[in-house]
Amino acid sequence: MKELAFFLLSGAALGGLYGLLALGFVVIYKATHVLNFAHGSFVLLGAYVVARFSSWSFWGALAIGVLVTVVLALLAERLLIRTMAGRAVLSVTIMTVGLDIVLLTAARTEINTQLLPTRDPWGDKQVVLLGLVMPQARLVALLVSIVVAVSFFIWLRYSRWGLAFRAATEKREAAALMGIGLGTLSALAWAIAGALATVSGVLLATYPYPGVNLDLGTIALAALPAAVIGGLESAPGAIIGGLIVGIGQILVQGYQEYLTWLGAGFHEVFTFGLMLLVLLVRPQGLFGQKEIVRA
Amino acid sequence: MSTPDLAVADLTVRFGGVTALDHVSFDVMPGRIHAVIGPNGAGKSTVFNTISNLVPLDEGSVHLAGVRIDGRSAHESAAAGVGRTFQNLGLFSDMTVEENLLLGTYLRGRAGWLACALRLPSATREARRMRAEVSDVAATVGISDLLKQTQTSLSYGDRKRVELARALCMRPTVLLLDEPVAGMNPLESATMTGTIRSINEALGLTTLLVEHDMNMVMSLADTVTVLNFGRMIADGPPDVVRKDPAVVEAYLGAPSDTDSSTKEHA
Amino acid sequence: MRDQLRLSSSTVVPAAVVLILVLLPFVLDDGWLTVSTLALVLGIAAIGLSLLYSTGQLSLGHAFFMAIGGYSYGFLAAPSGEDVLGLGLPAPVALVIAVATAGFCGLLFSPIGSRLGGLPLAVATLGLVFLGHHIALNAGPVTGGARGRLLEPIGLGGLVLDDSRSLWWLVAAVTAVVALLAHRLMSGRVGLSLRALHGGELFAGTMGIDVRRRKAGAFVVSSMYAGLSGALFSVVSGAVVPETFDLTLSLNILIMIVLGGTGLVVVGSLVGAVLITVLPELLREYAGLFPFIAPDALSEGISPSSAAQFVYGVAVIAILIAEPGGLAVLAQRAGRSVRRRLRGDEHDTVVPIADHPLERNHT
Repeated sequence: MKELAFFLLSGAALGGLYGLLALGFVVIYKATHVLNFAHGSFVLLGAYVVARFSSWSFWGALAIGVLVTVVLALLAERLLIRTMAGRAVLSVTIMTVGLDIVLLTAARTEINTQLLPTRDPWGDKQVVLLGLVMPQARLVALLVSIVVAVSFFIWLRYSRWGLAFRAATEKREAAALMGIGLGTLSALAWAIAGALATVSGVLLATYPYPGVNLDLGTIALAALPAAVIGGLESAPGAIIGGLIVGIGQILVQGYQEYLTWLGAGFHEVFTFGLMLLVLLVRPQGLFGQKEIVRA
Repeated sequence: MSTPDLAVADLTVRFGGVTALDHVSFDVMPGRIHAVIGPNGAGKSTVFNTISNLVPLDEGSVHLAGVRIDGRSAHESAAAGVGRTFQNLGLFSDMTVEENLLLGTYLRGRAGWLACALRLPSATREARRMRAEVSDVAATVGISDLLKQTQTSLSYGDRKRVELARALCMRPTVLLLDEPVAGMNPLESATMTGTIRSINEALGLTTLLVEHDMNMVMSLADTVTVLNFGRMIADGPPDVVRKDPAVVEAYLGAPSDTDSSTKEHA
Repeated sequence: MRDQLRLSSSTVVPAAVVLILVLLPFVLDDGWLTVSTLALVLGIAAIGLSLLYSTGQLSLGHAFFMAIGGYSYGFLAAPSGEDVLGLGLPAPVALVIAVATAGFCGLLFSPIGSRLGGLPLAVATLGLVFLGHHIALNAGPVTGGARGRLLEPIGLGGLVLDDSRSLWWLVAAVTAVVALLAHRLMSGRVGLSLRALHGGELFAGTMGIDVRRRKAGAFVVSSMYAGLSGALFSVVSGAVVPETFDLTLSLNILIMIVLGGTGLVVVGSLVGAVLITVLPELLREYAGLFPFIAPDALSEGISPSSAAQFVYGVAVIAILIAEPGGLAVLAQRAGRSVRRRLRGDEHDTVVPIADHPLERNHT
């Protein structure tokens, strides 16, 4: 029983991280219908910048990291995405694949096989919660994910920009009428995704990864199933999808002795397997909407 | 008493809280031109979309030459004999005009994966036949010199004619024209109207059209249905309908509108 | 009156191509010949992906279907060994069944695939690659697990093809055939319906195209191409290992069709395949010219494959922004203007409709 509780808590922590990563994809997808495959390299970049400056001050480094990724995201949006305005979203998405390759290749030459610590304040400490001994990092991951997610939803629901964001993603013409340009919305979405990337990256570099290394660049892809399961256009869906996938993955890993028929290491591909199952039954995802035909 | 080529009965469509169509019924007899008119948002395009099976019916039925076709998929509507144009143009932008027209002949071809890949004689013969037909239709509509161009280089009026030609290539039982002269200047509009009329006379092609342009409708249609807020408010020959007080009221003014080319679409 | 023999591109080009394919082994050394062979093998996969992409479906799972082809061939063609099973079938039979298996897997996926829009499909197919990798590692008796399986050199009709020349001719012949098939598909009724799907499934439906079935059909055919490519890959490399069929492979095939040009399914794919396969080798060979490239693992600098990857990324971005038709279209344009300048105003070459550059909308 204690074991199950441990798994659930760890799973929630991992799920929260997946949720944040998924949110990064969903925010841009909602605003532009483009899937930003470069998100993973933003995650890596943000975490790397924080690691580099962390010997000075962790929180200062974090601020710089967020700044760097937000600026980079805005640059990408302005220079690359904007020039492809009006083009098929599939083409723009492929372009983000190109961007991802460029950034990851640059990262590979810089980081190579290094493992960089982020010198976060919660380190390797363990904490006791409800009778469970748990690395502090996991708890922080869970808490921060919750805080970030809740803040995002509050912003979405109550702020003027948030309202515009929601409106624009429902009906583009209405947003334009509200005096908010679609270009600005696209930039906003990318900026938010950029910020989320660094936060996700730093958290990931403490749990489940021991630091910043190249793997961080590709971890974001593992969160895509979470976004799809939730429904690519649903922000709550991203978080819930992340939780489902995170908890599921930890449970599968934890109880793998009972699941040997699925093959060793199944927990690593569990997210994708679950996604395919969900898509078979509900192609639009749990919170997605079926497309309405308007001729 | 012959069977109508197109019989719609009690068409009812609800989108969430809005009733887009409320028990709309009319018949179109073979070889006739029937128009559906009404103010913006009256539900005219929705009628088309139900016939093409792009929008499901909540109530009612659609019969094509006596055969029920609603409740199926779009391609089954087309296969049953529905050929349509789109208000905002449904041309394929990556293709030439000729390729667009060839797509109109798709249903009448048979060459599948194997026949095409192996270039079987049957496929080649079929392709030649279709190309010849496309040529003929293009000549009828007057776009023969545009065949090799892509649609992005065409004027709006030309694009509408390509759209019409493509629907004709389907050799449909019923031709659905969604605002065929919308956005055209008076000259283009008159030409298009003339083309539609001559096609109807030459081929006896049953035609259903949705339009804003009153002059066009009055001169072309044999019968007219008037919709307002999804409901039928009048149905009959054009002269009768235009004088119907309910119709006049719905339009808030003279039914004859020469300035329709500047009107916005629904 | 015929004064002179008028050579149109539809006779000169294929003849030239056949000539090149036959004579290449006498021009290149073994190493480069193998590289070229690999380029064609991947080109087959690229043709399949490009065919699928012409319907507006983006699949990142091509590596999965290549794996199906590769492993199926390995299982079917090799005899049973120490800890692996095998059927020891004759090579041509094994090839055909491997291709069919890949197609069948494509069919199994289509209930999911044909109901998904472009981007959810991309993510779903991404999942296939990771799942396939997992299966490859765990289905030991069939796949050989993490070690993979070794294959005997392929034997056809008594001849054993174990040198680079005969492998080249085999692959070149197969490529030529499937390229021709693809070209004919795309220029016929089926190809038109596939392109219509890209233009708008709604409108395609009203033309009478059964959208779901066409999309599924495209997926199956594209999977068969991938399967053939995977099987040939195993033949050429003499082994099939899990590392080959990873996400990078899927992405590389995608890069091939984007750089080559997605509008020209056959030519674009092959141009892209040659480019992507040859570039790292070129960089490795001429690393001396580029001080920042390390010719081997011990030298300073970035590896040739990393450098190549970087170039691909930049090229993809540049091509998509500037000339979405890809390099094939650029080359075609250049060729036309050169021809026009040389011949004055004469007959421009007869180009079938399907070869017209399908440039994406610039609006």
